Amino acid sequence: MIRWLGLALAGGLALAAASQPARADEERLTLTLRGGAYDRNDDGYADHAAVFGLSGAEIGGGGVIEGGVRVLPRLWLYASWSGFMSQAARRLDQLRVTNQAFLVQAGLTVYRRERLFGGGLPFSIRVDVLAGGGLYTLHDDLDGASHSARGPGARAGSQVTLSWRNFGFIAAYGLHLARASIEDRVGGELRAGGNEVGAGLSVGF
Amino acid sequence: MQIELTFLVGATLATLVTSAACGGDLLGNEGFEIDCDGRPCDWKVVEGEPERAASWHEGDAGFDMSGEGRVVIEQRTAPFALERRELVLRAALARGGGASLAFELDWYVAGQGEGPTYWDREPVLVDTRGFTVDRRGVFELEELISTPSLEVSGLALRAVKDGDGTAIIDEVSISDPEVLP
Repeated sequence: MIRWLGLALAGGLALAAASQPARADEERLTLTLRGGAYDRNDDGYADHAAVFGLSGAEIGGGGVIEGGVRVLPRLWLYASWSGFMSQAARRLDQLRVTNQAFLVQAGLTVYRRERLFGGGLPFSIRVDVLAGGGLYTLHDDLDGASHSARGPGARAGSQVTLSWRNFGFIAAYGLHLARASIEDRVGGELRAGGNEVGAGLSVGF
Repeated sequence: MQIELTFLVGATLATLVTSAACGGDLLGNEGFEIDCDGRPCDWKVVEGEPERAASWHEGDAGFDMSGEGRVVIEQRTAPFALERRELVLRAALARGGGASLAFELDWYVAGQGEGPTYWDREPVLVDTRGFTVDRRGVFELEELISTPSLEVSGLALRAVKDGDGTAIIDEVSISDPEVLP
């Protein structure tokens, strides 16, 4: 873990060194809509579900809505909601697992370059690293029987935005650490934390 | 015309019986989900008082044989026709603690007695075969089994749990090994 953090820090510093200086007319607000996948931390729950014919409880599909405001040059404050769901079917039964996160994060633009392709084309690229925390929920339902859990958690991640004028394409990764978990009857546990990857659209003003 | 019709009906029935035995599952209600007045249809508790409520999850019907003492559940199925003697028994199991778990299979041929059902007509027991489950944990059991002959047309399958500990059984099927679950 420390090795990865060290690598991420070194990469961030290198990017920051190569970045163009902040300009006064950079966007102050961003709104992002991403779709993606969430690989939940599984300690037996999803494996047990698969044994009993309900495969696919570990990975969910869903999305993230995120709004950001620039509070200092290259320093952002983000608020986001994310929700992911997985469904596993067997005959008439359906196991549905959903997780949500309501987060507040601080973000740092470690790299930014305008006129990316040269000439007069208004393309820019921006790399941000984010970290923060909030509330996580996890819920499952199988044939009317359900478990729910909620609790605090933290997220650290990075995202790359390729923009044309105010509109951009964004790709993001996030590592979620959360204690909320649900348990099955035979000792398996599924946690709200996990790995999130996604891509989508952003608009900046 | 009548001979052709008789032949057609006979051929259709033979195809249905054969395909049911060779392509699909010999057992019924494999997931214990079909309910007959609070009991799982086709399954009978022979010994003990198992909790039938749930398997790995409260919402998934199964047979929870956990606890102390001996518990035996049974399903009888007949008639069927087999094309091969080798079959595979599959089940989703959870086994822990000091619980032992075994499967017993009584194979029958049709009897000559009178009665409305196969079992009323005094079928003849050909052989009893079975195996003990060695593995512990939560796992998918897949065990090759063989019938004493191709003439068998009835089966009494028993799951036998003894000792003290976790023993949950669900998704029980017997089919051709080449048929994927």
